[in-house]
Amino acid sequence: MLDFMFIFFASLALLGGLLMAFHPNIVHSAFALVAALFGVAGLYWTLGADFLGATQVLLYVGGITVLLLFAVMLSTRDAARISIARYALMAPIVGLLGAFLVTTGKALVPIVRAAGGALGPTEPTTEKIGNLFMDPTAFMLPFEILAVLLLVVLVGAITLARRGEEDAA
Amino acid sequence: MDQLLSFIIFSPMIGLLAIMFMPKGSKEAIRAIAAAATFVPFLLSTILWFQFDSSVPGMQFVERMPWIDALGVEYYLGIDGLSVPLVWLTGLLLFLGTFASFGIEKGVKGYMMLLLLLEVGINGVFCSLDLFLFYVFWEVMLLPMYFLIGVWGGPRREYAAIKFFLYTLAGSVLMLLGIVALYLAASGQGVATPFSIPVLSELVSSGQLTGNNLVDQGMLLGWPYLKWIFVVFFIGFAIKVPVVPFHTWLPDAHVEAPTPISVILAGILLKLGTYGILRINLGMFPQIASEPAIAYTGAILGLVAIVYGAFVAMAQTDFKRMVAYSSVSHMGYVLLGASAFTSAGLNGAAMQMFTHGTSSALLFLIVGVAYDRAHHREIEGFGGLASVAPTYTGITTIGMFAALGLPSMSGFISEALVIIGTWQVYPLLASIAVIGIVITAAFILWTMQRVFLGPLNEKYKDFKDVTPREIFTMAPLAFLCVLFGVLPMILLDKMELAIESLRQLLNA
Amino acid sequence: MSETLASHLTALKPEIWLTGTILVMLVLDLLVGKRSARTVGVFGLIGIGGAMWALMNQSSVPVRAFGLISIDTYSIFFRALIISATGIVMLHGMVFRGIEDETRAEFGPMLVGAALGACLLVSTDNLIMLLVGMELLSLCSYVMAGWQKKERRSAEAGLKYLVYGAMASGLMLFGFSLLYGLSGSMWMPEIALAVSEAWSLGDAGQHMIVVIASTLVFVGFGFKISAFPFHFWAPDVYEGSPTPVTSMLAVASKTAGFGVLIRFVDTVYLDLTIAEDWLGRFGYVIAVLAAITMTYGNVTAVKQNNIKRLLAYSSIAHAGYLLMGVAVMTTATVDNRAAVGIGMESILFYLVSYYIATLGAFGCAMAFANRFGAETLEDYEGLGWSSPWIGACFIIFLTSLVGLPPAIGLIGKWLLFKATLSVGLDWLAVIAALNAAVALFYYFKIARALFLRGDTDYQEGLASKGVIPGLAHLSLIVLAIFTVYFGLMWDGIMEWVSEAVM
Repeated sequence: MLDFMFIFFASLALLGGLLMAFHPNIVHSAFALVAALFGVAGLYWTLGADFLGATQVLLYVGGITVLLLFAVMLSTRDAARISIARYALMAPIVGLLGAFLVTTGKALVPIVRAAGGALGPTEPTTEKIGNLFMDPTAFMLPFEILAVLLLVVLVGAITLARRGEEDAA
Repeated sequence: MDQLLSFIIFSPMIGLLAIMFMPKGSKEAIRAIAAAATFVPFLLSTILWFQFDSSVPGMQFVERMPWIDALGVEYYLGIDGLSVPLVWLTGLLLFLGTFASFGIEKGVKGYMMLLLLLEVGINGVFCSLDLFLFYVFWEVMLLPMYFLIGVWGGPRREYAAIKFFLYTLAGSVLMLLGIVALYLAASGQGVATPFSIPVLSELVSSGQLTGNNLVDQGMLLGWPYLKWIFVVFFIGFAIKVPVVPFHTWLPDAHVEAPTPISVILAGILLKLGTYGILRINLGMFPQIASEPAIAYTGAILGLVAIVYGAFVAMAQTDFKRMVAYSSVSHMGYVLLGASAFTSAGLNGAAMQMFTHGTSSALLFLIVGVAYDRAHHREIEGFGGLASVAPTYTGITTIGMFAALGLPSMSGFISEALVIIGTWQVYPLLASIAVIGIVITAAFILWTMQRVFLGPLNEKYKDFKDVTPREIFTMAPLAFLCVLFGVLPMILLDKMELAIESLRQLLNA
Repeated sequence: MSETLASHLTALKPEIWLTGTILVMLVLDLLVGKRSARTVGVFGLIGIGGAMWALMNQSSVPVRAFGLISIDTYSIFFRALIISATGIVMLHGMVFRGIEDETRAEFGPMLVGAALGACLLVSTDNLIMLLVGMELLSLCSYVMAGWQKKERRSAEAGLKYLVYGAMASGLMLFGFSLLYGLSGSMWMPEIALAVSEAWSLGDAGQHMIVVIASTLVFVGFGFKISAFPFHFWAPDVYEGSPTPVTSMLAVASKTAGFGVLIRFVDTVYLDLTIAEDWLGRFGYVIAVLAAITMTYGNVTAVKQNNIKRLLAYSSIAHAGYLLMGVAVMTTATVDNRAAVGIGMESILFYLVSYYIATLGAFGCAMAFANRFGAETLEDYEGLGWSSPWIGACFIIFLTSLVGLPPAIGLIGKWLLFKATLSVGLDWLAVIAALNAAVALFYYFKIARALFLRGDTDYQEGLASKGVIPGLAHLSLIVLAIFTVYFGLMWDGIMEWVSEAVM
């Protein structure tokens, strides 16, 4: 069952990714991205990372892709059409990358198994993650620093964007 | 006056700082400060000359204190008979050079600051007894010289400056390589002060420092480790001298440099190369230097410089270029004399460094005077100046005669000593070197004839004789040329013990 | 619990100062309005000064904070460089003509944010914290690089930096995940154990994981230090970014990159149990990369005409010199770990010399751009006569970058060469020496343009009067004095460096 789930989600992610990269219509690409991100979320679930999977769906599928679609729709139609030929060169690179991932994956799986790593659903992780984030001896500092990061980047993004308006005016 | 040497080295810095805060426009004040700032070290080095006790062997006025403990670098100064005359000559030439620079109108502030910085570097090199300190001072001279030629030079100044810079830098990189190699060998043996020249000389000449700890059997690519160090030091200094075939930067630098800088370049900077050869190559590696093949190579190089320099000088049509090539020829005597390891040869070499310092400096000042008035330096373009500028002709005659080695002139004594000293060891080379003297006499007399004698070139019938300021810069040098020709013992006495200990070291 | 929290926070005082500075600057920006952007900057400077003060008061006894950060002499050394560089860049940013006044106030928080990220980056030995620190540094840098949006080059620089940077962090993250898969830990010492075990006991597949993970991690670090072949972003980004940002990237960001790289190499690979044959190969690759990086940087710099671009390539070359030290470190064996100390010491010292001279050189470039709009070698002709002080400072910085006495750069090169020779990497030392000669050539193109070319007449430029521009100019002169002073009296720096070497 687990194997089936893995194969299903993995192919969803892979096919979605390929479709997104190579589809000439950018709107279709965006929808393919939704499939790919869903596939990744599914992979998280099969690995027992329920919180991560849920966050993936909420943030990426729900939030970011919708934003992307808005951006695509608001931009002009010409920009939405991209010739596939320009990306033909990418094919061998993608192939090499795939081969590389397969090789490392093959070597990695036995190690994770031997280390007793979970390849099946175990128990809910949300609470654990929450505790780790608030534990001063665990990951409290990175969590807080990420808050600073978001703040600073927000300010930066606004500054850059606002001056964009001034230029247009 | 325990810190006399430090005062001599660093007193120009005070003037430099003072000039730094002067407004750019007040040229007269800047010149006055510069003259004062070069007068102080001149005065101090005169005191040094008289206080130096020539009956005591070894280093005097020693100042020694730790500088960088991590590497065992010391602030280690001291002088012996070899360096005293050169320090005094530096003080004199920089002082006169400052006066000769009063005619410069462009960027006076920067010019004077660089000149003072140059003096710090030169005196530092002559007084350093620590290789690291020596190297730092050596490089301190590099940048001021680059800018002095590159900014205030003639039409092709940029080319001349970069050529000078690259040649000298190549030499100093080789020198640095030698210093590092010595340091690695010495510190590997646990020497506490692996840069100190006296300590290293002692270790090397007693055979305790061989580089065995770094390379197998002390051999590197078929040569002893120390021999490599000797060679890189030698090439480094030979570029500065310059020894043929490293001499090509010199004519360009001289021709493009402004007159005072040519004076300092010929008068002192070239001596740094031969001083390095005497102090480091001969003083630190006497066994290697006295190997017959090495010594003979040195003598041959000196001879080539003498003869080749003289021939090329004769072929020049540019007055300044001629003087520059005659410098190549004259510096050859130093190398030839130093390679003979006889008392006369070494004394001649050391004295030639001083006498050439005075006579070549005088000649460049003379060329400068002609150029200031005529705005060209073609030897053929003058003629009969003796009739309109008698004082000028008189001083020129002294300078030229000193350069060609006329008896009763200083050049005669030193060149004769070199030839005699060489004759005792290499009679063949000594007799060829005499050819050099003959050619030198020929081209100098010929130049005299073309410039000063014969019918007056009508263009120059208003040629002004030398001004008092020019006389002030040239007369002391002319006086010295005669003085040391008549009373060479003043100079030789100072150097005697230093030369004698060097000779014993080499003939041990 | 609260007591431990307090002790954790005490250990992070400089970082708290920096965070506070960001917040104060943002709030002040709202309160005082756009007209007094400089007030915000002054508060930023005060905050950075506070951070520096807190840092200097940290004891040299190692402390661990939050289980992720180790406050030791090593991290104090790197943070001192980063924070002080940020202060100088902040000062220069306040007078830079090119950042419009209405956005000057927002620029400060970005800069301090980058410094905060860099400080955390060099202090941590946990991969999660490392990643967060690096992202904070990178994201702030991306924004700053594209700050002059009206300038096409700046916008391009920001975008280019973002694209390459995101790819580099992605690859590095993948390397981290492989290391995590190997060891089950994010903590470097535990990863070290797992790596050496995988190498000595594992099969070919495990070896491959170690190699691939190391390569990917090195992509991330190599990007930050702009080592070949991850340097492609550097020239365009350095040229396009506002000059203060360029000097931040060239100094603080690169210093942080080396800080984390050395700690990673030291902790993960130079652990006592590491397999020597693996280390030998890794070290060989680093040595070759060092040689290519410096040669590429120097040779390409010769052809440059734009000063910032020239300095960018020179900064690539200096990354190559610094990598020499890393190569020296990797020659250590289980029995003889002396090479680690020698290599690290030489890198740290070289970083100090690079820091002073590069900050100064970019500062001078900025001063000339401000006053005369000069950017290329042709523009520079004769400018030394119009601003003799800045021109003379520029010469001193260039002297140091070449490695001529009496500047501190000579000592840095001396120590690096000595380290390289002492472990038998002679060929690398020879290549580096040849590179120094090439470097001389292009650095002196600037000197030549400033003083030898053009007429010596005074050229009228935009005068910049006031306290802050005066301070900015003064900072250059102080840096120039440091360059010479520490070139002659470097015992103190040497002691500080040896203390910092763990």
